[in-house]
Amino acid sequence: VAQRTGAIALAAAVALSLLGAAPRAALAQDPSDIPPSQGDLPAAGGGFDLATKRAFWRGSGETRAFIAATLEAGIIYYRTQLAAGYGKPHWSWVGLEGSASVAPSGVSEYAGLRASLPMVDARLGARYTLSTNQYMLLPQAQYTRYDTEYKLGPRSRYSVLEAEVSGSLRAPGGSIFAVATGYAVLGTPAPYFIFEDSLKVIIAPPYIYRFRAGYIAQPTREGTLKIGGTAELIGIPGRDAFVIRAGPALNVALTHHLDAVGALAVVIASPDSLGLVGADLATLGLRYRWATGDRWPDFP
Amino acid sequence: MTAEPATASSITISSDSKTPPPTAKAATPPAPLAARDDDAIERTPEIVWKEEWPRFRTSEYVATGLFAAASFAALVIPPTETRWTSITTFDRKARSALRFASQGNRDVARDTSDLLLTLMTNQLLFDTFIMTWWSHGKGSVAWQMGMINLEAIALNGAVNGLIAGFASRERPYREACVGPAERQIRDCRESKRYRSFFSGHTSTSFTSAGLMCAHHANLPLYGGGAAEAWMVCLGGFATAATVGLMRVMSDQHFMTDVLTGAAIGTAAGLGVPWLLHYRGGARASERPAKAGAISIQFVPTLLGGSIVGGF
Repeated sequence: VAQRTGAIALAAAVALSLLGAAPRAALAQDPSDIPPSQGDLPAAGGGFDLATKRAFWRGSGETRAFIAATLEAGIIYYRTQLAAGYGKPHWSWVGLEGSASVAPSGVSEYAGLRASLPMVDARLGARYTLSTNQYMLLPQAQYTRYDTEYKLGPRSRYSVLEAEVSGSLRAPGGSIFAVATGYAVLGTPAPYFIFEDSLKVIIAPPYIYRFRAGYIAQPTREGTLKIGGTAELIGIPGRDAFVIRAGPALNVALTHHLDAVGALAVVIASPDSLGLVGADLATLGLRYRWATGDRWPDFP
Repeated sequence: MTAEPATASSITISSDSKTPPPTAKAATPPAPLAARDDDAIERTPEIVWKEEWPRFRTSEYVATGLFAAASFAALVIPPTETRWTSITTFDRKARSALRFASQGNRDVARDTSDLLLTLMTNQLLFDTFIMTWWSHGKGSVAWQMGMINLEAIALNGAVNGLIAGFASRERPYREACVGPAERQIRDCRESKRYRSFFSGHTSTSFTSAGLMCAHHANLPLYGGGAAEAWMVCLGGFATAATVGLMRVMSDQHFMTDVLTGAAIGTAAGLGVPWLLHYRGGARASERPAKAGAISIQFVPTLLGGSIVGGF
């Protein structure tokens, strides 16, 4: 048993290490031919996460000081989120959180404060993003996908201050949610625009905002299946423009710790014609939640 | 309240098992998350991992990690720009016949191939996690399927990465790569320009099609029967063939790149599940334990996590 467990742990460690090495390899050159939807950093999922909380975590332990983690993997990205706080992890708590995402298109790190209630969530933090194959863009009124691929500026790397408030309410057959997020992009030299990797829009720094709303149905008795639709408006004051996207989202509880998640967002309105690059065609991924003090911690 | 009532839990990998977790002491453990409608379950054939099918072996976990390692390591193979620039008569004629004349249509064809490939990989995940694990409540079978999928895709990725890196064949769109490097698109500027042979989109699509075919031929995921197997197999391979065709029409690959990718992808997608699992021959040590669930715990660490437990 020990030998088998050790071999599995070794293989897992190799795989995780390789995920970390992938963007470094791609920094030198971008040989991969991965579809835009499958090589991107995971999209910012504000609001939907709140509406898909699992009440297992309400009863899995007492109110306490804790360390918690959320691990998410899909084709092809990996995101680790760590939190240290007080309350009930993944349910109702206050504390610090940090996350790291890695994908063939880049890496992203986030750290901030979080206050989370079952139906309301607020966070404030800073994110750093380093793209492996994206360069800053010369200002234009409109862009095509090819315009985003030219190497006319420095490599895209930037910091973003983020503040977000989201809320969710019961509705017939499910729940509705809404989220408002403000962004201030820092560290970009004038006059360049950037392709913002988590929002998948071209912005004129520093400010962006996003409003997102959706309805999530729970068609099964236990609420293990949550499926719905979201729409979002992203405002880009520096370009005097906005982007509207909409699409379905899915969350399926496989166990009380493990969910299958997926989302699709297609562009409804935009000043640009980015094709698949501007859409969010995330594949199904797996999300695993863990916390200290969990009464039933068996994996998965 | 937006989340489901706190009525359920249990978290062994064999979510087929109804055994409550042994660690529950402080409160009544929630019930397992499994299939929701018992009547519906009884109406459909059961999803069972047969005793004669070997379960995913330790050696396969290690091999899958190594295949993944090779896939990523192959990304850093530097291109040799002059190694393979010749075009065979067959490739030239196929390109002339199939390549779209306009750049706009070629872009649409490329996006179509991207979307179809995404659809194929999503279908694998859907069959594994949504149908098998969630809908049928067979977590342990889903685990077997998921690991087999990962193994075949990683094998295909390793073979594709290494051959494409060392073959260093220049892509058909080379003529469009003109002007200063900073004014060229990524397809021209970066080393993927020299990774034409063989088509990764095509081989991955055929791997996915083969895996879908193998699983549905052996497991009644949608109710079973020859019709299910034939429909999934034909649909999967037809979609994969469309991906390959789109790669030629979009001028991303030559026909020989696509045909080679189809052959290797099919071999990986059908060969891995059949040779290592579905053809049977499990030894006693590879069969599932008669009693007790697999107990595994996961503990996150700085660089990922550790898995501990007993089988």
